[in-house]
Amino acid sequence: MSLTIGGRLFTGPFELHSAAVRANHQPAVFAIVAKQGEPWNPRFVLIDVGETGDTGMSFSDHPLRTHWERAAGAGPPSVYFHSMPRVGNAAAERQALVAQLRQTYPEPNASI
Amino acid sequence: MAEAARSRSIIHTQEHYGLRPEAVDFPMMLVLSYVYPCNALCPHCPYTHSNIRKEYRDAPYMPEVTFKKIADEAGPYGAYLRISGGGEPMLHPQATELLVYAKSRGCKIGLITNGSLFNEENSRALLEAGVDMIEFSVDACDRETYAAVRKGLDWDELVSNVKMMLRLRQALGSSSKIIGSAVNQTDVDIDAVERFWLDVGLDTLIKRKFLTWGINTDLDDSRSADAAAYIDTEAVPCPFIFERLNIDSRGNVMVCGYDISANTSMGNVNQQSIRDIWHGPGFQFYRDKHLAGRGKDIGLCAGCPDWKYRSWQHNYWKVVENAEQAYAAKQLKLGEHDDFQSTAGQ
Repeated sequence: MSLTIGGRLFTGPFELHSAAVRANHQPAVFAIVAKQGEPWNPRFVLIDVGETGDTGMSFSDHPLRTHWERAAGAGPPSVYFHSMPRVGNAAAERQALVAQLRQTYPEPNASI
Repeated sequence: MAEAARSRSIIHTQEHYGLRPEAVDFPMMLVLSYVYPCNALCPHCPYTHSNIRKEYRDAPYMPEVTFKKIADEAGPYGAYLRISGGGEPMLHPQATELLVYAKSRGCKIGLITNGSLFNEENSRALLEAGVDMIEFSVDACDRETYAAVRKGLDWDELVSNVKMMLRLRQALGSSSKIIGSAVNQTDVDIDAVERFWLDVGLDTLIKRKFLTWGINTDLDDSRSADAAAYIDTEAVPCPFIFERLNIDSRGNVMVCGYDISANTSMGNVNQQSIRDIWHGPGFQFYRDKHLAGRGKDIGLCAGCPDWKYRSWQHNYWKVVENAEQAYAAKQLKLGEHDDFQSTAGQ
């Protein structure tokens, strides 16, 4: 579904074990999000943000996957993507958005 | 100015809050997102401004079995099935058949449509079944504005289909109310839109606030032409949880129309009764919090930018009442006219 994080629209949730952004896909800023609480009163917490780079990224074997899962607690984490076109200085723009999101949500497991 | 003054004069609150008397047993209204595809790309639509449609690619249409289960349960209560959300309802391959079925089970039907897919056959079927409210999302009163706010649709087709529906209603003596709605957004003269469509013959026109749906979309309120709140959300509970619920094409029940991404799950109508869901722990949680003045303790409600536009008085039930009165008045006039003609012919 859609989730606006820091004013940007993200698409998800995708399960970590199968999520991947391939090299021929648009690069994206990703958000690792855990859905916690009762099904009728969910709380979305931001575990981590990052960017996929120009060559893609697999989340099933991501070196931080165990860390994300531990940080998420009971609710398994999932990944949301905000794709960004390969125009201009796209890598720098992705990195700037990651920095902005980290600034907006500085504390660990911040509610979105 | 005139609109602002009129808005101020309407009462939006009440003395006491709680389940509406008509919703004590069962919700008064079930808002069904029973179609997700759409043939338009309206700039004010939350689905145009989100990825939700993509996420429903595996469930674009509510299955017949789910719809009929809802209709079978809602019918005995005379509850409204509000057919909206997600996409254009008439794109459902069984749209007419299912709506006629729901009427036969005792449901009231409020159909919200862009009006582009009507023909004489399906219009006639809906009118003969007595679909209670057929609401055309008109949003404009001229070709140029319509092209901007209803991208992908044809102005002449809309006008033609509205007139056909009105003509058929008169010919069939149908009880259906035929109304319009328009989003009050910049570059649209909402009062002119109202005048135009009442002149065409619609029973009433709903002037909708421009909504953004918060975290679900990337809409912002810069297109809103009237952002004045109806209620103070610090003091007044949200009325929706005391009268209605929302169901998506998978049968999942969401707490309200703000949650178009279906982040909440109050239950699923394929596995539970709607009555049980309505009285279940999820809705009770929301109602208790709101009645205690602590609705903003709930993350979803705290982030809801649309709660302030949900009036306890100026709402769909008022629209139904206005449309019924307007149609009754028209029928009276028609009756006098008929008598005059019959007398003149003697």
